[in-house]
Amino acid sequence: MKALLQDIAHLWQTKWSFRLALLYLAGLGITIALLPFIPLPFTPDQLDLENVFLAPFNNKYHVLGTDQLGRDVLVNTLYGARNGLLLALPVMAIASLVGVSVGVLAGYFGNNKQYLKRGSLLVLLCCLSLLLYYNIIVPLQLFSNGLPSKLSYTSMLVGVGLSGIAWFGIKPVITRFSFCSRQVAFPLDSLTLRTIELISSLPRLLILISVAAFMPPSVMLLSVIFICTYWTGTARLARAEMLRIAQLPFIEAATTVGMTHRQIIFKEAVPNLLSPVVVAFVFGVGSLLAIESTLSFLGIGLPADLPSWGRTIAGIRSNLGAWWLVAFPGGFLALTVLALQVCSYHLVHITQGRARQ
Amino acid sequence: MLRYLFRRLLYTIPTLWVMVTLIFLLSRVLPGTFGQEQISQAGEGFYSKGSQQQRNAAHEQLLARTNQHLPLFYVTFAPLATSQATSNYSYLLPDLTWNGTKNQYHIWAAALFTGSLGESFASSRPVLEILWEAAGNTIWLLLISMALTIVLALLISVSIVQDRAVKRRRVLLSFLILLDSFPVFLTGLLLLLLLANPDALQLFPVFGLGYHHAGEQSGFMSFIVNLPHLVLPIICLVLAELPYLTNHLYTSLKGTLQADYIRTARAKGLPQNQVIVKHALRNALLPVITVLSDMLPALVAGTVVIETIFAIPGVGRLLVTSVLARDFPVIVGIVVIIAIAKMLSHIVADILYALADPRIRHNQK
Amino acid sequence: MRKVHRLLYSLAIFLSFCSQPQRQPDEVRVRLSSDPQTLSPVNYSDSNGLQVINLLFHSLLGADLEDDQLKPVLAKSLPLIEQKDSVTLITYELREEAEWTNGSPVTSDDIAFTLKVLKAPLVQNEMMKPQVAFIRDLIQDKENKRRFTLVCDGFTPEMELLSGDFFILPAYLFDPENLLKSIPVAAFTDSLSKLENNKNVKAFAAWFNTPAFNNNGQTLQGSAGYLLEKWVPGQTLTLKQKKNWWGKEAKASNLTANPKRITLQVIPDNTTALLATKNGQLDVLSDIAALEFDKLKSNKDFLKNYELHTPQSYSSVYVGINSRLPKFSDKQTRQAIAYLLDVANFIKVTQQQYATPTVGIIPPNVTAYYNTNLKPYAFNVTKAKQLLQAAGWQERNNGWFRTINGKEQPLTIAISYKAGNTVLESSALIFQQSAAKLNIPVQVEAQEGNLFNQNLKAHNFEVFLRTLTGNPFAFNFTALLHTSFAEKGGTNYTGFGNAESDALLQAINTAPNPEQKALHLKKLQQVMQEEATFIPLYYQKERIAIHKRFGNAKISGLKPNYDVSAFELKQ
Repeated sequence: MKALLQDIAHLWQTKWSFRLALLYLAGLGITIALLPFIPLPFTPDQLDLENVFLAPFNNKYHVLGTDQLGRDVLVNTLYGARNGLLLALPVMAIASLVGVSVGVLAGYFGNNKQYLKRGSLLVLLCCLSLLLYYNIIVPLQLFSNGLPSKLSYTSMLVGVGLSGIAWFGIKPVITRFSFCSRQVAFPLDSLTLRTIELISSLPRLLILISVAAFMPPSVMLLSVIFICTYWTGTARLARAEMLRIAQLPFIEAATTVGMTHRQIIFKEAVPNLLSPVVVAFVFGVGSLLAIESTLSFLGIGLPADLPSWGRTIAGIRSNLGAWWLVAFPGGFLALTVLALQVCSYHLVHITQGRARQ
Repeated sequence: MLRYLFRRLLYTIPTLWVMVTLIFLLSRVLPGTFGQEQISQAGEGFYSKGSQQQRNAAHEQLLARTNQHLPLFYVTFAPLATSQATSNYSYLLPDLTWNGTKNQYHIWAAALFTGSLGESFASSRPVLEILWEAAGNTIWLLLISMALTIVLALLISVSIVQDRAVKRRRVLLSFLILLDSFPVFLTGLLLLLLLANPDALQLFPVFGLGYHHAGEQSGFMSFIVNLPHLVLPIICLVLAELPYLTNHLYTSLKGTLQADYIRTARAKGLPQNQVIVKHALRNALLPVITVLSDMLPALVAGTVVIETIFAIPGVGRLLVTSVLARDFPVIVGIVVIIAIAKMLSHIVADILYALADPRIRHNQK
Repeated sequence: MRKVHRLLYSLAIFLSFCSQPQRQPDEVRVRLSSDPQTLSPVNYSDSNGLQVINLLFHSLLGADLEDDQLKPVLAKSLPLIEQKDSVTLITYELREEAEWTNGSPVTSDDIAFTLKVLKAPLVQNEMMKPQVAFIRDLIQDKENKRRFTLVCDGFTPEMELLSGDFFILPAYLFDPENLLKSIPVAAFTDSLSKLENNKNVKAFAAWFNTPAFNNNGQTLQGSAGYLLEKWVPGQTLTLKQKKNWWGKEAKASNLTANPKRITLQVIPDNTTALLATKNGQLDVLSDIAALEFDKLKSNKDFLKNYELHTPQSYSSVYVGINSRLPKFSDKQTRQAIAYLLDVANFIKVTQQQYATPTVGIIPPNVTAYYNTNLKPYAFNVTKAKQLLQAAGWQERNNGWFRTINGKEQPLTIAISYKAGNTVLESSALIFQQSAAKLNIPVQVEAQEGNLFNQNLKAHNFEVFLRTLTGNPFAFNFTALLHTSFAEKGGTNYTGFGNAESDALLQAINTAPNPEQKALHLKKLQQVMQEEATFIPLYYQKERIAIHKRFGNAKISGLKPNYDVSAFELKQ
């Protein structure tokens, strides 16, 4: 942590682009945090039906113009930044974290470094199917029948309880038998790859449309879907990189010196992974920031009273001449992604430089 | 190498089967069935077209005709009864029924063994034929745009990785990032507004894959004739895919250039260009293989937005319309084909890895 | 480098030539927003399919878009209708000239065959089947092969229309082995289960349920003036004028096949279609966005080549309130909501001026039945407030409350609509803002089409916004408003109605003359406005552009708003 702060201070002094980007991001962060307390002349959802599609810079009140319902573009751009970043950053952070952990583990342990007893494997499978039934299928059925959620909680409890009994009660007994105590290689890598293949062969759009067929997508639901689908890209990158790194001489050396798996992964491998993962992260944030416009293009219903850049941009479809609907949110979008890119580029650069020394 | 490939393919088959089964079952979770809405909605209006009862009967006939009245799988959970759930805990016990071979999955899977993906509910054409047609419409588009993307990405990344090109690098990289954060539909729309609009520049026709021509033409001729129609979608696709690929290629090139053997090569006095192309590029391509192998199936799946804007009937649009119409055989068919493409591209990626880096091959054995 | 530049320039010039392909003047190019699912004349499910099939096949009667009147097409004249006890007899005579593509005449055998196909089990006919279920039997005239009588159950005012509203199939082409010939029409009405095991029916279903009868121009040949030349799925449908078509001699203004070739181009996106029209790649474009239409009106280049039309349509936007919910069961509460609907602004923002506010379900341009004594609900906050107070709602700082069944309930409104419809979305947002003036929280919810319809059917909604497309033919609102359709799954979603309104609907259907009918319909509009459960807001105007080289476009408010077969090249 201290090293990171030092890096930032160093970059601040030497690179003007980094300083600019950091200043912008900090400014944006503060504005976003304080936005609900800033006295603005309009709320983002306030309609002004007398002033629809007002061009920018002509009006005292709507400085950046208005959209098809007379909503103020400036206020919507600010609130759009808030909502967009509050969706995109956590989603990409969690997705990257999941992706990197899964990818690193799969790449490092491969198919034949982890061993399990046959009995444990059997019990594990049983536990998974129990959890699937009691914690997913039954609650879903209860939910679709409109039954009280208390029943779902009972079911989930039963699921966890049963699998707990299986794991802690039955597993020790079963592994006493000679057949079940035989060690088998746990194909972690193959399993991960197949899961990734399954998830990524379902087009994201199909998942979104299918989910929208059950309930109107909320921000929470969208976040979950995005996390579930975005982690695979990072995971594959991390795995591929890990496969490469695991072969390098210094890892072998580290093993012979007696470093533990955890030390090897965190000290040697992860810093090497940083650069591609950060690139994927920045790109992911960029594509998520205006995703609503694409979704509304496809007719997937997002809450219509959620101010976002995508909502403002999508307004151009009802008036092709309203360039300001694209220019301002688009400009902010571009600046934000650019700033993120500049910061991450310099940071990755300097961290890697130090790792090599 | 061949044995490795063979084993890899052999392992793929059971995985594929599990995936296909899952996809089949998941698709049927979607609420509603084909035709249900149209049949029931004909009833509302300024006069009634048949009674409710008759419409229900017609819907049942449709279900029976398309085998949708059968249970989904060999075993099914009995649906939870509302009364049973509220009175005691008996709802926690799974209530399983055995359906035998008279179930939708069995019929579909048996047909799959004979190489048939079923027939579309909407047009009663074989799904494979529909898919083939849709993929055929976009295949040229996708191949050309992908080739262009790769070439452009290589050119850009090689040109900006050199030490002299600091300014160019900054400008190009920022531009690419900007490009990537823009929604595809906006890029397409802007291209149309700028390059196919009588109010601006009218260089290209707006939509489609050409018009009706009297008389048949050979494949190549029709391709040439339709080329102007393809220009805008190709530009749009390239712009959409270029940033990500370039960035990856650039990062990995830069990483390789810092490796020891490159320094040795440079110390030997080789010119920088030559070092990059001869030594660094090959190694730098390694992580790019992953990105490319992820891109390939995505291209098969098509890009709904581009297909919609430029009115090209590709797989993406087919998927969306069949999901909205609940044309289950087509949905499952498309996803299965995409899954196969994905599997194959992953295998290809593995092989390329093995070819590019012999050490990995040893490990796999 | 210079070479590259030269190459680029020449490429640009080459492409600019490509951008304006040669057009044949007598080809009409029309835009379709999506591919038809099927062109089966007994199983089509979308309006695009219907538009194409209309150019291939004829029905007995059809609406002439010239004046929106029902006119004989394949029939010689409007049918003779007799009511006898519990059945209605409808007698038709076919046109003498009418013939199939191979030159053989259209006879009552073909009509009988068509009815059998429409009613048969196992066959792909589910979409159209319910519509002809009321026809029990067909009696052929022994002397005249072109005369026949349809025997129908009961009587409804739309029977005349429905008895002529199915496409007639050529028996020689669709059933060359005469598989259905031996089975009488009446057999298809009584017990279908027996027929399901009939060898002939099974064989026919196997022969008929194939792609050939869904998309093939070789089999889909009817009595109308066009042949399906080619269908490239997702791209184009090309239709070719028949040579020596019989309709030319019929001398009926609604039997036309003027353009040599009709191309229907599938373009899903509205913006693309608009640009294509501006480029001259399309001759007809309908459903133009209101704002863009306004801009086209002042675009001189565009007006040089295209003419713009705004016929009054029969599609309306309406608000439905779930009157089954305790909080909306009170008439005054619903009226208060109606006063909060800012229709003037809905029209201004979403339709520009291309819509007419309406007092009720009858379109304002149907002057005979429209109730001019009523005034449409206009936005009025004070009125709404008074009504809420009168209904027993109490205003507090955090909203409105009322005690219902011993429990205090807040007044909240969830308004839902079909996702992707920007017109409805804007209207819902405007309503949200209007209701906020009275401190009523409104939740706006876009739902996927299937989900939305399922929620309506399950009565799982509070307030919804929806479009409804009508027509000027029958004005039988039983399915929408009668209480017998108000149970779950029925089409009376809002729960409108009581014994009195049911009787009124019955009276409309049995009215002996138009004057009586007008009286009842005007009463219905008044009752509906008072109840404020089903609130029609406005009737839209269509926005169409048609190339100037064509005349006789038959612009109409009925879909598809123009009759492409009537287009004539101007001299």
